[in-house]
Amino acid sequence: MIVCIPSRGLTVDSQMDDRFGRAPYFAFFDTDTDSVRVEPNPHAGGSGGVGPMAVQFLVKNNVQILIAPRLGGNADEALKAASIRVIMQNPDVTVQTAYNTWKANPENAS
Amino acid sequence: MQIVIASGKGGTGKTTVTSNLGYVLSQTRTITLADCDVEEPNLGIFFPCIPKTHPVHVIIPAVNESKCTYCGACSEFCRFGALTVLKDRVLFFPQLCHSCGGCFRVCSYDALEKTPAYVGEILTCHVSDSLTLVSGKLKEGDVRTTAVIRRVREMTRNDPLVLLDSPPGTACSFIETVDDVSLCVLVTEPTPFGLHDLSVAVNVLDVLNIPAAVVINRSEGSDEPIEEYCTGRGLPVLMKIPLDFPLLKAQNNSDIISRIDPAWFHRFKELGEKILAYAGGFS
Amino acid sequence: MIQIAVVSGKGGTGKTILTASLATLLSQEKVLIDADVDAANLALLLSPTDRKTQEFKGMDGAVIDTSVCIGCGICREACVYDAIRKAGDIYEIVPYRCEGCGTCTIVCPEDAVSMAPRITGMIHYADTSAGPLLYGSLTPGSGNSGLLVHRLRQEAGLLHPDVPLVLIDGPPGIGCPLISTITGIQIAILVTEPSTSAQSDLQRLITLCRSFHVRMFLVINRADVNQNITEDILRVAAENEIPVFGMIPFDRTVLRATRQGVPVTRMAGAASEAIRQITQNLSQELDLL
Repeated sequence: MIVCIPSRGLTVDSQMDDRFGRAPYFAFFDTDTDSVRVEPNPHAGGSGGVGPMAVQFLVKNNVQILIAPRLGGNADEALKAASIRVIMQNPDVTVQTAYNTWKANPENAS
Repeated sequence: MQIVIASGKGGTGKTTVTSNLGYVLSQTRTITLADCDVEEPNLGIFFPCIPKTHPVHVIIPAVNESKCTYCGACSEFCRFGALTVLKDRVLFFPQLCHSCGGCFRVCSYDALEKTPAYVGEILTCHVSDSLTLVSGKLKEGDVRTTAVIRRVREMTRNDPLVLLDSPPGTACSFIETVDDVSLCVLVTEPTPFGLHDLSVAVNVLDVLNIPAAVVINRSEGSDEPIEEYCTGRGLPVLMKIPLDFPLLKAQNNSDIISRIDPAWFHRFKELGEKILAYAGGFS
Repeated sequence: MIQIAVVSGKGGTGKTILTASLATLLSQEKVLIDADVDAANLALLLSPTDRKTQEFKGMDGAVIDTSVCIGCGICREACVYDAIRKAGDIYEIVPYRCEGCGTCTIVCPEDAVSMAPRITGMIHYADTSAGPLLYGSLTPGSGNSGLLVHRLRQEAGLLHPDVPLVLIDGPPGIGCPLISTITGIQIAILVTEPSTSAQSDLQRLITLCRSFHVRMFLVINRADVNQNITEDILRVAAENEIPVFGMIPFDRTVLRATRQGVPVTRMAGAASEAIRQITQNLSQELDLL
């Protein structure tokens, strides 16, 4: 299963980004191996509609779970339609910590 | 002839000038007032009457799921992010759509249908035999301002004399309002804010190649910085409106001071004649 | 990080004057943003030192390669924005009308049209005694101000991630620049005045802020100019459960201070006094958050 977390930087020690569609990077964790790759968000600098564009990017990367602090209305709608589960997470932690927190308790993560 | 009253900065008295000019000019000629400040149309407050409503629609796509193959071509084309194609469905976000029509062209399966979407309305009313008011009103929360302004302009394009009340600012909606007009009258005030915003507006009008003239509102006599600027840019100052309590009060009560005070009637009549003569010189 | 925007609907109600005063009076460390990119005025009251400016690229715009265009006019037919006009035997883009949709690039039989980035404005980074200030300016004839607002807020977040307070001087109106301003903020301070125009604009602004789940507080400027309308506005505030932070009386000191390019709270007077009280009320709200 692929878990996505918006990131401010290229490494998992970067802080989680508090935006989704305009986050500069996305970290993709593979839950089977706990391996991760971080990719730039191709739509971060787009002029509008970046929420749905980012969802499409997640779909392309086979993401099933998104850990994010807050979502715009359009992104929210697109994520629901794409059946990507959203886990809310306060963004003042690193990407790795956010992932570990979720992994330790995947059902009750808040 | 189309003449815009604009300001760059909001709250400088643009609507005061438009409403008074409209009233005064309508005493001797047929005139249309066009409220292009569609996010906050206020001219109607000064000319109460029962308007006729014309809805404004833009064309957006509707997906015909029976024809769609989810190829993603429309989503790839749309630079506004209004279409998201998932594995088994297409999502459309009307607020993001600019109604460019491109998606209909890139769809090879005829799966998108042209559908009207409501973005606001135009209110028209005949205030008197010689005065018509046309106001654009954007739907709350909508961002497709220029579509509504464009419709106001289409509906008034062939009228003999149109005074357009511009939205504040100098970006898209201002440009939509002033494009191709004979003259833009900029109402400013003698503060650093007024001068700064005046100069921004003048630069935009330069690019669009539209003649400009200036009215100084809330003048207290010491208007040198603005006058120096106007002289330097070759802009005529057509009128100075003093900081006047009765005027402020009339305006706040949605009265037109020219209607109740002959001295003000005369001043705005003079302004109207100057504007028409000046605009006429360019067309 | 708490984000506060001072907004008004109608222009000229005193947003910038209030924002500048709040900026100098609030004790928190803060970053300031002037989101009225069409007419950025906050800098005029805060004597900033400009540090740098950076080009801002809005959406790509269409460009016609004149050496390839055969003058068929198909692109002009397709452009719903009237952004393509005849220039001699061929066609050219009218940059200020082009919204950057790209339709012309797909209809051109000769592949003469492409999309290219265009500089539509500048982002200015400045320092003031009240904190860093970011403001924008648009290239004359450019649109896209909503996007520039977004970029200003994004830059402020990236450059000053640990600053506890962001104070935004909002744009007039209720269109895309305003929506870009209030998306994701916690508090909106609505500045209005007792005029029929401002009153009707206020109603539209309230509806919009509510749909964005922003907590609203009200300030009535020049409240004594029309007592009846002020009372109407207070009733609207009560009906909508919007707390009133304060009322600023008509005071010529405001104009004097503005002409000198300083916040009115630097001078003594009734308006200055009222704004100090408003600042205290805001501080108390912030302490509760």
